[in-house]
Order: sequence, then structure tokens, then C-alpha cells
Amino acid sequence: MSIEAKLKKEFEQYKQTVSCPPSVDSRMMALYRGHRVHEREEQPMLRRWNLPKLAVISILAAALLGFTYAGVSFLFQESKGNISVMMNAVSDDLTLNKEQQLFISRALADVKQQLQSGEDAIVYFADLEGEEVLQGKPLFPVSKPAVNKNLESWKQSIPYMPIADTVPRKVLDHFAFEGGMKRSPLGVVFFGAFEETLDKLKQESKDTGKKVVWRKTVPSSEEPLKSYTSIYRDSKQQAIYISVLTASEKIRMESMMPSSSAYEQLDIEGNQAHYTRNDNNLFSGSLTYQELMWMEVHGGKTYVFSAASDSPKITKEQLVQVAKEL
Amino acid sequence: MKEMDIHPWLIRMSQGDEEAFQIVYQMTRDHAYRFIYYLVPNKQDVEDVMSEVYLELLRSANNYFPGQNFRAWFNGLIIRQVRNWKRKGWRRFRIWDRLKRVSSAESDRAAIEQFAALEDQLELLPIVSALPLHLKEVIVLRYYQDHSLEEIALLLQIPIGTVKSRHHRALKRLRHQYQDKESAKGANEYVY
Repeated sequence: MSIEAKLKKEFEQYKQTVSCPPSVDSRMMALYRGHRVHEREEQPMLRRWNLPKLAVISILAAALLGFTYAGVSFLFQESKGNISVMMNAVSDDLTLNKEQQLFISRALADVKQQLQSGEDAIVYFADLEGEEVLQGKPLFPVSKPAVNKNLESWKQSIPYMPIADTVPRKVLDHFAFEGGMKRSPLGVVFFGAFEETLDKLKQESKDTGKKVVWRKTVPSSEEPLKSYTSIYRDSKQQAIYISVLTASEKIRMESMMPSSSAYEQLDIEGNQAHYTRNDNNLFSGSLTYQELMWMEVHGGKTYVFSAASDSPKITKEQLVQVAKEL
Repeated sequence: MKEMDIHPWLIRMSQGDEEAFQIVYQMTRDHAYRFIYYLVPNKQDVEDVMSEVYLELLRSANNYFPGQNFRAWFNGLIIRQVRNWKRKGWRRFRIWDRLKRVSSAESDRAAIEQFAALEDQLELLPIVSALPLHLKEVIVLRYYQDHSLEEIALLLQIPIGTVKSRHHRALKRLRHQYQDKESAKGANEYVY
């Protein structure tokens, strides 16, 4: 017998014989609880900013998008330079039902109407407190981003020359430039001291008896992500968003969508692209959000591009065409 | 340890979900225990090193990327904690003191007896146990954890040439010592 085969055989015997004694389990659970207590004892602000930004993004995305991680399966991941993008599919059984989604979507739209241009808010839904999928954090962000309607001035406000130069006046011939905003297509910000806000909103809800309460938030200037979105609209008020995102540090962005959503990996002129269509997106007024996303590196900097729409009738082929036109 | 999508549980665990920690722990405990048990020279240290491993897992779960081989990532974490433990020799004295005080070392004793009984039946593993840690790591990762030499290089963050040379030296030592042992017993089993 070769020594290699004998080693494998003996290690297999070892594996069959040695196992973790049950007494270790209680020690490990005590260790975990001690670790949690230690974490909680730290100053809240200090702890928040000590977290790696990529962790912050994952955690807030999980907490704010309203999906539990149980029943999540990996859909795709792409990494270039300092940015990694990951999409997961979550079992439809674990997402909120249509009625709840519509209720949230309408409430968010209502709050949005009350915001001034450039303001952000976070909304608390007391009735969703018991929803397991929200993990005790029935909070949703809403934003009314400031929109720059002047194409030339918008281009000049984008600090990345190769990107600014590619902002078209029109896409697909009949979608005209409407404006640009320094936000992702749906304008949502996932950062902020939401734990403190959650406690305050819960209290306000108890004190006032209101089931939906909200307060304005100020996004941190330390956000590692920068988004630039150009909005295009046709005569039927259908919108196409072209956005580019960069990061000042290593970032992993994690998103989730119900497993009933569509996903397709495409090749667009040699670039790998990911098409997703989710008809349960709470941040889209129509609940539909479809996006074609791809990554490029220019001059050592990573850019995440997307051509997206919240209009249900826009097709995947149209988004592909937009990507090809850029 | 089953290779399954552990990533969602790691995220929930880092969010402070105790149930997720329990699940991650249940999925990995036997693997971690056996691996640590084999690597640490002093078997009384196993539970302490295990604590260090799970503390580090809690701290660094966010560094794990889905798509990575979790077993390889976790093995790298275990190896680093075992090395740290070896470096921090003073801690072992503290542990000895603790062991003298605490009677809960029964599980340690049971495991040690279990392993001692097994060692009587095994011929090569007791020799592997006595190898220096840097050679033992390569043997354990290759023949117990089934990693390729390339994976071991990534996991230990050393050049592939160094892994090959350690692998070669470790096997040479094992062959030599095994033959000596067998000759002393007058046995005629031969390994090549």
C-alpha cells in the first residue's frame, strides 16, 4: 500500500472515531452570548463605523428589503476590482404577500410626496412588526432625490470623464433625457443609523397610536458608494434609467429578489451582463423593477453600469439595446 | 461538514441571530473539533482553540464570499488559530491552571482516552502527530481534508513550491520513521 493511501485510510478511521463531545456545545453557546454582550456594550456609533462597509451594506439590505435569509439561494456573483455584486433568490413563501407589498408601496409613495427635493426618510410599519420575514425591523427607506434637468450641467457634475461623456441626450430614439440624480435608479439609500431610528419610531407609534410613522434621515457623507443615474422618459411616461456606480473602497453589494423573478445571464458585446426582473419590488411604484447590469473597469476604476426600468411594458430587448447604444 | 450554502446563515449570525449561530455551529462542530484535535500538540488545549476559532468566525464571517469553498476558507481560519495558539505559549500555562481548577475536563479526558485507544490501532497518524506543525499542516490538509497542493498554497498563503517541498519532506520523514518502527517490531509491511 502506498503511504498516501495508508494516510487516507488512517485519517478516515480517525474521522469515524473522534467526534466533538457534547459538553463543548454549551461552552460555545456561552462564548457566542458573551461575544454578543461585548458587542452591545460598545458605543453604538463606534460599533457601527467599525463594521466593514461591505458588511453594513449586506446587513442593511437584508434588514430593509424585508426578506429573511432563510430559504435564500445564490443566483449570481460578479467581482471586478474593488466591487463585488451578488444577487440571491429568496423563496416566494418567505416574502411579503401582494396586499402587504401594495400597502407598503402606497405608504412609501405617500411619504415621498411629503418630502422636499433631496430629502430622505425612513418609514416604520407597526402592523408588520410580527412579520417573521422582516426580523423585527419593519423599516423601509424612501427618497425624493434632487434631479438636475440640465443635461450639460448634469454631465459636468459627474466626476468621471469617461462616464460623463457617454450620457446620451436620447435612448432608443424616443426616450428623452429628463434629468440626472446622484442616486441609484429607485433613489433608495441603504445607509444610516437605522437601529436608533427604529427605536424612536416604535416609541412614536406607541405614543400616537399611528400604524405608519416616519422621520427624515440624513445620509452619511461617508458613504463609500457613489451612484449617478440619468433618467429618460417617453411620451407614455415610461422611464428608462441609466446608472453608473463606483466605490471608494472595497465593497460587496448583496441584493435579494423573490425566486419567482426572472434572471438571465447575457453577453453584450463581449461583456457579461445580468438581467433581472422583479415584479415585487417595494421601491418601484409599479412594483416592477427590471435591470440589466454589467461591470467595466476604466483606468483602474471599477464601474457598475445598469440600464433599468420600473415600467412593466419595457422589454429586456429594449434594455439590451440601451446598453449597446452607450 | 456538509458542503451546503452556509452563507445566508453566516450573514444572519453576524446580525446577531443566535439560531443562525447554532446552525453554523452544528454544521461545523465535528469537523472543527477533529481538525483542531489533530493539529494541536496538547490535547487539553482543544476546547480553548475551538473557542478561538468560533470567536474568529464571529468576527470574520463578513469576509467570506459566496462561491468560495467554505470548507477551505474555514480550514484556513482554523489553521491560523492553531498557529496563534502555538505562538501564544503563555496562554497554555493559564489553561493548565484552569484545567487544574475546573473539573469539567471530563470531556477532555474522554476524548483523550478515545484518541489514545485509536492511536494503538493506527500506525502512521502517531508519526504524523509528532511532525513539526508546518509539515503536519500540509499532510493533514492533503490526506485528511483532501485539498490539492494548489488549494493548500492558497489556504496557507505560501508559494506552491514551498507546499510541494514541505509535502515531499513530510512524506520522506513518514516513510523513514514508519520503516524504522516496523523494523523494530520485526514486521514486514512496506509502504512506498
